[in-house]
Amino acid sequence: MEPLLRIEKLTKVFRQGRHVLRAVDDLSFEINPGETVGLVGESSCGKTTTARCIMGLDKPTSGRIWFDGLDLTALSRRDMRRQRRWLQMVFQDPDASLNPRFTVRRIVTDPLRLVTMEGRGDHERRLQATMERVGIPPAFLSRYPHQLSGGQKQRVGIARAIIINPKFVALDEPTSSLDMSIRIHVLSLLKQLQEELGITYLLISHDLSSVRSLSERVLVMYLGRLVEAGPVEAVFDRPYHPYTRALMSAIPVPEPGLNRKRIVLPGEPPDPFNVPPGCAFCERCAEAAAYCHTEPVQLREVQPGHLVACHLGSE
Amino acid sequence: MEAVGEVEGLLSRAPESRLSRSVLLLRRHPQLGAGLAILVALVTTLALAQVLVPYDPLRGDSSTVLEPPSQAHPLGTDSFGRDILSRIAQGAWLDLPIAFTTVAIAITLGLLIGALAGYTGGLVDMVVMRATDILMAFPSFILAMVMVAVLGNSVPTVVIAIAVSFVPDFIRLARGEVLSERELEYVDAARCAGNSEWRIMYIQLLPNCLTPVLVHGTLCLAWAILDVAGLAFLGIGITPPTPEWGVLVSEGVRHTISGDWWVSLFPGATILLAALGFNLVGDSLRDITAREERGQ
Amino acid sequence: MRNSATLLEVVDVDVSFKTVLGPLRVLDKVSLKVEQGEIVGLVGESGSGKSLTGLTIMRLLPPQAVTDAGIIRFRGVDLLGLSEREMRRIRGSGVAMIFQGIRTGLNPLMRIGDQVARVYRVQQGLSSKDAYEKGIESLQQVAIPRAEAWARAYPHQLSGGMCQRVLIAMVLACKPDLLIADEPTTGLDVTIQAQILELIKEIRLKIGASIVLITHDLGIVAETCERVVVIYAGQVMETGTVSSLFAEPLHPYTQSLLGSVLRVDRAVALTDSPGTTTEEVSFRTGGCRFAARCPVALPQCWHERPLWRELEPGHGVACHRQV
Repeated sequence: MEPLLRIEKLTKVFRQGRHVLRAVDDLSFEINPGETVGLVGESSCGKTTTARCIMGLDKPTSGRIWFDGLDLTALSRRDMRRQRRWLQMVFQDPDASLNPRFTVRRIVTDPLRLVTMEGRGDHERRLQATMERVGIPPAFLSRYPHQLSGGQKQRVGIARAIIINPKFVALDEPTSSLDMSIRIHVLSLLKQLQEELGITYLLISHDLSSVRSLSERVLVMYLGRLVEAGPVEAVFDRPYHPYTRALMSAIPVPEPGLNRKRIVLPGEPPDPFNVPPGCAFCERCAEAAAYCHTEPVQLREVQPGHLVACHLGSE
Repeated sequence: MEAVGEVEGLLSRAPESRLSRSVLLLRRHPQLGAGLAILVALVTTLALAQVLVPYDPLRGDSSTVLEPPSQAHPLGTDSFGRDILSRIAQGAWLDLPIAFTTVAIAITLGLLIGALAGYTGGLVDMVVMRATDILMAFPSFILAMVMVAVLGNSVPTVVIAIAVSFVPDFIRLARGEVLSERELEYVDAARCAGNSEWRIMYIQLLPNCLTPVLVHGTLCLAWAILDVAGLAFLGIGITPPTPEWGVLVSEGVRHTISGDWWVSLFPGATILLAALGFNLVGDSLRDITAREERGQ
Repeated sequence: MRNSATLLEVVDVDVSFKTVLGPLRVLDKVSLKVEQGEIVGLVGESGSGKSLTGLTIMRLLPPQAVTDAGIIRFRGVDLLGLSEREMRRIRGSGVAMIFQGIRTGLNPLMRIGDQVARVYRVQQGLSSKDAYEKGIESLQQVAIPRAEAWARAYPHQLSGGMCQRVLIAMVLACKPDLLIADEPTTGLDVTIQAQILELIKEIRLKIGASIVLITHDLGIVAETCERVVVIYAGQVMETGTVSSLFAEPLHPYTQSLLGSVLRVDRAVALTDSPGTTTEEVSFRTGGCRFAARCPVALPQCWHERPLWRELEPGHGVACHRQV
């Protein structure tokens, strides 16, 4: 099976005068059709930048992005616009991602310009079907974003992303700003849509419990680099990388009396402008050896499908 | 405080009628009510004047020269025997449309150019900014004077001159709004939805940048009236016998010394009231929109 | 350390907001208790009134809020009956609060070393020099590396996690009997969150303070708190020890909260119908405010407020279904 999306050595560098920020550093991974892959990490790990590069909102410094056999990085602006027919995104902040001056109808039907072979009647049918799928009553079509609740706004964002039936949707923190009881409904909706429409998802989130329930595979990023990748059960239950292990132990589990041993990481993540040449994590790693600071790390397969970028255990 | 904002946020979703919202607005902002009241009163009086006091504003009657306010002539007559109230009412048909047209032109140009500069950035932005810098270096009144002097005395030239003197402010305002709005996610969402950059700039972004522009526009209406009248008073732009308010004031100046105070005063008072009305409305709009942005 | 003196007792507190649409009752007969030395979680979603409860205890409500009724007994004294001057003496050394929105707690124009030192000067009457030294010490206590150097930094130079630690240091300087922590870890990375929660637990050890931990995260409650109070739309729905509440939630709201919780150690089946659950939180008075969303609401739930019942010692609930 050919992967739907293949990221090849993606690098995105931001410059601010003399300072260089390697937001994404030599990232490579694949997503197969129909899969949900989670991309996790804490702030400034590069996950949002990766999504933006895939969607063509930022131009990569180097590397390639293959979508359905086509190199997106080589496309002109106009051709990329045409490709948006198949790649859509749900944004993080429902308040900022909906145009406050547009009605819900206008917001959701905006992407229909990408579907050229249809008439107005077809568009209307699509709109009705989509609204029903995401569970927004038709009365809401004439409302403005400020008249909707957080969960409703997010549903509008989802409706907008799926109305043209794309092949791939990047979900950028789709439930971060929502209450817990709403969160599970939105995730269920996303799952159902995936089953109905056969969409491939890239789920970007710092909320690992959402990723656990929705994704099949997960990629863990730290300071722009991929540190661990594999099936979600393997990575979350039997993490290899010291960072992943610390991350997993830091997440509180809603079950009292478990008395887990918590790995508390010392210090702060290093300044993203000054990433050490070796492993990005070495300064906070309890098991760091001397060469971790100087030798660049490669991804290696420790179990079938489970990759780790760490020097330890590789002798 | 976030807890408070949450409560107010929950309230803002409660649907209420437009009427009750307007009433609440007026109660909270008495300035708005006062400004609107002044403008409405002014416009009504002047509109009715043409009906109730049907003198020809241009025809003089030598038998009624320089008469003080009376029942026949509520605001008196001028040195040609023309009824002052009728002249002021006629002038309204000049001053108010000129003010609105001027501001409309300035807003349109300001939005188009400012949005382009703010969105595109780079060289375009720099050129526009330096051009506005140059324009803003001149006091706007002087700028308008010079332009009318160059282009000649007529209504269109006055409109253009004053509009040009206002444009730099609108360009700045529009550009500022666009600069902050273009970082918001709905712009990215619009790109993902296949909008071209031009569409994003003018159809998605612009409507969100209108508020400060329109508020400033209301204040500019006041300035426009003062500018037109001021220019006319100096004999620039609109000249006698056209019954423009500034012209009326200048016509009456020499009579004030000889004791015929009404010839200048009433046109002057009209200018004052009109400017005051627009000013009050504009100020309160600024307060209201500032509050809205703070989430109240 | 635990002597069972009740440190804080909030009894039937009502708070309303004056709004353009009339008075809005945001806290409706809220009651809770905090014993000496315990960590109590105050759990609710947005609009639940949990932050407002903290602010009411501190008497830091905005001017448009009115405390209509109720008693807040702290160390035996009713805080609602105190004058502002008397309350100011209680704030800090008696009850202290860490606010939501980390950066707003620090003065952006003062170096952090000076800000912490100021607390020592005001609270303990130390000289400038001594206060500054103590300030550095407390920064070290909250694990700020190279404290002397960082003391000269301004808040905008600090990360979110470090700001929070500075605030905790300032709280430690006050040595309060009760600390109200309002969402202390929201917006922070998970690994930093773990550090802050450990620090908060240390506060209890170091100065013997009781803590009210306001949060929406049930995971934090499970791992950090001993007892928990569940609040919805300004009404307390259930309280109990963490173990009994998680094991046997009595109130339909608590049940739905626990039912919608996601875990990182196992996948939760996402087969729940993604229909439109009402998100509208109703602030009507009279009746249980959860009635509109309650799957097992009875007719009387809409106009009759259920009485508080303690079904087991320490586990109480307000629900018509629990009779």
